[in-house]
Amino acid sequence: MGLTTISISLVRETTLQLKPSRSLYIRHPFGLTLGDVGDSITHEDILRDCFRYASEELPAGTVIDLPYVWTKNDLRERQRRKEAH
Amino acid sequence: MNFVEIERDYIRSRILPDFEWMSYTRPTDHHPLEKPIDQCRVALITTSGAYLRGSQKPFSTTNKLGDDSFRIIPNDIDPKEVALAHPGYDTKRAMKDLDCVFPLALLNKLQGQGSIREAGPRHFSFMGYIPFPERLISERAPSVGEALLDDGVYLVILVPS
Repeated sequence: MGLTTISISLVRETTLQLKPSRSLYIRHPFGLTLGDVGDSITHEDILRDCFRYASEELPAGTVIDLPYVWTKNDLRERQRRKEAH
Repeated sequence: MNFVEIERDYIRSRILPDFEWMSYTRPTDHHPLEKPIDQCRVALITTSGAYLRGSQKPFSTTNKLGDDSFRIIPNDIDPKEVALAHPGYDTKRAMKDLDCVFPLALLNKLQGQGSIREAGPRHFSFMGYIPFPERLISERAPSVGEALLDDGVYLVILVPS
């Protein structure tokens, strides 16, 4: 008996250092992890991806690159440069 | 410089001169899901700084040593009772749509659709700025893990912010 865990990652570099059991990497801004305000379709797609990849047989520490990319503006890039909150 | 270096230098220059990221040489073991997902109880761990306004103390957003406490969020609360306290991102955006960082309503919606057996009776919230994680690792996280096992949870989804 144990817990299956799946982690969403917004920063691939720190995930590679911490090595959680299984991670899904998403290129979204901080504070908009599952997508933009009101983007319920993307939110649901990502949560369903968590269900899906929790069920797959993969080695411990696998980081899966999901196709979600923030294209609305440069918020993510500015956050990563510590120029936006 | 990549984000890890920029963030490390930011924390060192403004807050903690001796800050360094944690790192591990081996991954955490993966415990395979024992049942199909539609037969599983699922819980959330968020690091969004979620807390219940009115009944729980907000996380500290000003302590340079961070805040390694956690809040228990019952599954049956109205998401409108949840507030966010976190120094690392603009919480105003997610306060308009909590599912952005803490998909409590969405998880319950998917339960209603039969995608999972059910949401766990409680979820757990941390605030992600924890520069000294020793107590988190030795005490807080194990106690949360035990609580999740007590709740009969099979799958835990960790949602950062």
